[in-house]
Amino acid sequence: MTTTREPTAPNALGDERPMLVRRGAVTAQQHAAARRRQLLEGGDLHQYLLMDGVLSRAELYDHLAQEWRIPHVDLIREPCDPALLSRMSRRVAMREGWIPWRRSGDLVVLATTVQPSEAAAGVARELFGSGRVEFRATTPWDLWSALEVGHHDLLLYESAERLATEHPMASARAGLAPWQRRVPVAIVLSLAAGFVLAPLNTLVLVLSLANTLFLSNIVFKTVASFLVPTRALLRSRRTLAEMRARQRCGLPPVWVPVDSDALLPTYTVLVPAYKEANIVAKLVRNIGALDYPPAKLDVMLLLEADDEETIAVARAIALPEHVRVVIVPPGSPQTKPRACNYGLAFARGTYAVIYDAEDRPDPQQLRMAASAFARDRLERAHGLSHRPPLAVVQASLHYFNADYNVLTRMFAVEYAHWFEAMLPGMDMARLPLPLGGTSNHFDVASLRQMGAWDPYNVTEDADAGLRANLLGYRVAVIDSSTGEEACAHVGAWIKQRTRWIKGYMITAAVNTRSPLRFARAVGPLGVIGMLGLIMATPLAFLAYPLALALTVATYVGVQFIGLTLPPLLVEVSVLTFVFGNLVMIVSAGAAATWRYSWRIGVFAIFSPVYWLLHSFAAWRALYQVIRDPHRWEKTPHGMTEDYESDAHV
Amino acid sequence: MTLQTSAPPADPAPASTTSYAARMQGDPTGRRVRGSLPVFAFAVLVGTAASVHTVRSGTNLDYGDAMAHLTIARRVIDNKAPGLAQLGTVWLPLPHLLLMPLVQDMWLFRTGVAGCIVSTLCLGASATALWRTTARLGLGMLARLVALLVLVANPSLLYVSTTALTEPVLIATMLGTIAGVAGWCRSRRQLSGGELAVFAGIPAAAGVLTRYEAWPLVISALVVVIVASHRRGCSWRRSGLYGLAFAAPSMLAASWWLAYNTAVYGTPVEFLTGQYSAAAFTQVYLDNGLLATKGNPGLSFAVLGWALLETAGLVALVAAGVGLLLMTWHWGLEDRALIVWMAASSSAFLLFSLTTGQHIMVNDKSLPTGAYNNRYVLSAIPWLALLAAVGVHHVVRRAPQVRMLLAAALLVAVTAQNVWWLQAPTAHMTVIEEAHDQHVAYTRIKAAATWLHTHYDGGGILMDQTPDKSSLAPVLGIRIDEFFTRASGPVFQEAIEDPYAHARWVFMHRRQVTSSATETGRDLVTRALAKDPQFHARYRLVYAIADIGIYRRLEGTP
Repeated sequence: MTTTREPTAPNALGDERPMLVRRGAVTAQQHAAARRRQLLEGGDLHQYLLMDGVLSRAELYDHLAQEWRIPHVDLIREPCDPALLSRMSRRVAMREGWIPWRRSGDLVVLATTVQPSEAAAGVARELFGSGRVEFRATTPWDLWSALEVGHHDLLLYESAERLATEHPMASARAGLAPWQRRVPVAIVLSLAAGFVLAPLNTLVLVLSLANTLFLSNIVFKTVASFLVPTRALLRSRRTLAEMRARQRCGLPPVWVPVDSDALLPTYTVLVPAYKEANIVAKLVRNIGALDYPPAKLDVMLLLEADDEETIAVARAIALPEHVRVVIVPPGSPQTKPRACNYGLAFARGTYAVIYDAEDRPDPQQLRMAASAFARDRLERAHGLSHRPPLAVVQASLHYFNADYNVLTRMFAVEYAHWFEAMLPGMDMARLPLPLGGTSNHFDVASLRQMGAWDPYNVTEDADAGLRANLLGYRVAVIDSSTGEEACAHVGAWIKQRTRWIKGYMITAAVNTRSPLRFARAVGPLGVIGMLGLIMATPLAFLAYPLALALTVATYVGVQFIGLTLPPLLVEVSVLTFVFGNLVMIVSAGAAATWRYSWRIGVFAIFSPVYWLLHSFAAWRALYQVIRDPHRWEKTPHGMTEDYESDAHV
Repeated sequence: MTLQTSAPPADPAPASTTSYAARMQGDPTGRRVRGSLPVFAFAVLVGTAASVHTVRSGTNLDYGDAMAHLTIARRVIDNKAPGLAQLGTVWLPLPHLLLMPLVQDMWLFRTGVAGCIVSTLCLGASATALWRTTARLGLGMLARLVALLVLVANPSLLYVSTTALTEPVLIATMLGTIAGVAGWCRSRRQLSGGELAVFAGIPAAAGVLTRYEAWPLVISALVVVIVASHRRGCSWRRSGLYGLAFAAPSMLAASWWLAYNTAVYGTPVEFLTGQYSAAAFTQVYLDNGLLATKGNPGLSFAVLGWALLETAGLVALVAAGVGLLLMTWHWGLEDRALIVWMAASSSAFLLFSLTTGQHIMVNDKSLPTGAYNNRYVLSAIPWLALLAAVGVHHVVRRAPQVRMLLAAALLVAVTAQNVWWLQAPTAHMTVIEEAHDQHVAYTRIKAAATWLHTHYDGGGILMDQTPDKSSLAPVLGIRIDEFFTRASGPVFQEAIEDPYAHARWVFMHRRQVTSSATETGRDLVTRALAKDPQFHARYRLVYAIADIGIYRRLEGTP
């Protein structure tokens, strides 16, 4: 949205005071305070006056209308001509700050949020073929509302169907490819036949496969985790090399992030929420804790139209000026990525991030992400980096209710291993990174080019990370963290994990519909990432009960179950299982101890039991992939109320 | 009687509490308990000092069972037939599994320091759990210190904490369970079943795999969990689910034990009915008319009471008696009282076992008299400590002005009692007396083992695991896979049939002795070889003491 500028020219009487002061809308002190903040942080002066509550938006635009000498129009009461509005693209309208309101013969009337200008009139004449142009003043919120109404169908299409229609191979809408449906059936039939004809050999085969899958997943995770300690070493070497390279290019030897708030870009914060009326107030508190100029923040609380309770609560609360409620119209699939796509359509930021409503990001996180993007751009511009352009950065996640109960502790251990060990390790190995559900920061232009999120994929985050890699972008991690609420109830956890594992299965299926094309596009590292993580994770969880059963049966004596398995298989399997578990326990425990404390880390010892829950979820996910691949099982938030442990401090 | 309907606040601290004490008192319903780590460190320090003393004097290996536990733990890996089956069914497996990594080091094994390490850590864990329990009960600082005093200043308990005996592990698991249940019941917030399973259920399961005295504790703790959660407002169904969460680890542990017995011995109740079981052991006593406590509750009570007096001491018993009265008066059957009562379950089980003839205990009150198995009553110390602490708490609460006087009196009394005990430990302390008796009984066979340790030059040793020899491995100090024993599998029988081809050394009774408790007391090597002229033609007796003989193969004999 183009910013409004307050007229500062003296009036006819030679009064040089700012317009709003002159009109008595604000005092000189109030104006000066807003002006000081504008100079420090950049952005629109009026935004500061609105944020300070000095005057309302309607009052501001009434004054502006008088100053511009044009009438004010309320677009809610007097809506735009839809046919006329549809002729102007949404993005052009948001960029220009005006939309066509009505037409009468040769006359086109524009509703504007910016000072009328001949340039705007010229654009309007060109767009609508009119002779005369008139202006009416309106507020930006009215303008957005008008665009939502006027472009309703297009917005719905872009949110839900665009990716699937324009890039069907990249979307999960079509489900599994024919060969992907046939292969599992063939495997099941072969196994059934095997169990009838040669049960022992088939069992040996199944157990061997189960152990191989388990082992490969363990190896992948372990290698990724153990790369982390070398990361610091390589980083220091890279820093030295970088200093030399920067000097060669005539740049200061050390990168200095943006040092003036006025230069910070506008940042869009998308907060999708559904049936979470209880945490809207927390959202305001958590977003308020971000250390980013409010005038540069574009926060959108994305609520589904049928979620009347949350909408009512959101409207009842006095939201800050930079937070707006966006009601996502009904439609299918009703998923978080669809809501995010809808919000993205109105994003004003250079960058965008997704947070859950209860998230508590590090205050500096937006600055760090913006800095990472800016640095990447600068380095590539000066030839200091030949890596693909950075499209996404992922912050790590931790749980603020880590020690609420055993499940939250296990979840915390798992997240610590994932975000503190595996993701940095994978980043170092330059493997494609699947994104986490929140705290992923996007370069908005790149995100739009990628086709945004796939609303048919229930782990749109993981899918987006891989698609970014596939399309030649880069995903990186930043050293910043967001506090999340760990799911504290087993039932809800199972549903959430079912969705995640199902998403991995679907993401793997989508990306390997044409395996050779995928391999060519992503190269060997991409293939390793796909096989070792996205595919092996659900398969390992599916195989885990088999490996566990074999170990337990062997542990109490094979003769106990009357089976005589080849000794080599038994020994290798038990060794794999016991040592595999041990390695995972140690690495996860170390990561959790580092991130939280030993009181959380020690719970890694229960991982083998925790993985049984994963297995249950994996088998449930497999069933859903076949029966209901797009079903989105919502994770409830706010279950632990205001409980906050000090484990993460 | 006061029936509690919700988690009550702790009793207010005495008005004159010092600021330091007030800080240490903390919030009894919170997650952390101040002072846990220092208490652990202090108890470990005390246990270490005691260990240094007993290791230097060699008394930490006086108990035959202590040596046997070390042996079992080592032979799981160091054996001609290694594997979990070596854990056997005589004892529950956890203490051996805890010892297992340590005893692989020959020095730790030979000296018994492996047992010191495990048991001293258990003493630390016990003290910490006791401290946490008293904190959860809302007891004042002096009361908590008294509980620690009863536990850590008990010489008998300190002694077993320097050995590989299983009492320290049992007490640690018992107190761990009680602390877990207390923490769960007294938490401000209703904690989940998972927390209960981890913090109380797992210690209980560890107890289940340590000693059978822990099994009734699981049942009593289950009752406490169900009652406490129902009082807190949970439905009976919900309370039952919490009970299930608590009991699940113990049920898994017991199931594993049954499965193990089935897998290794072909019957899930081998530990109850097998040739190495306690039942088989007590049967010999019964057959000889030496189990007078069976069917005699009065005598059983007297024997148990005497063992308690000689082991826990008069001071602890009096303090606990006062505590019991005051607790019943003030707390009735509220949750806090139930938590303390949980600790009594092992003593109740012992009394039941004595009365039903499942257990043997010999002391000055038994018929006949002597000293045997009195150390089992050490599992009552946590109960006595908790009762004494509750008593002190109530006295100080009513009369804060006597606090210092009471503290001084208790300290003097405990010191005086310990001084009296230590003046003649083998006469005044039944646990030490038992140890000493066994040391005397083992003197000759230990001498033989020491001789063999010095002269062994490889070639294998044929030896049956009669009760006197089964626990000798630490004294022998020779790798167990050098031995042909019953635990070596089929190769033992092969070695008996053809010793010359298998073992350079034979260590056996020169005459068959049948005075030991069970059929397992018969020396199979003696039975096969003692009267075999072929054997005597090929082996030479190189060492003899009493009826024990060590034979060495005559090399070159056809």
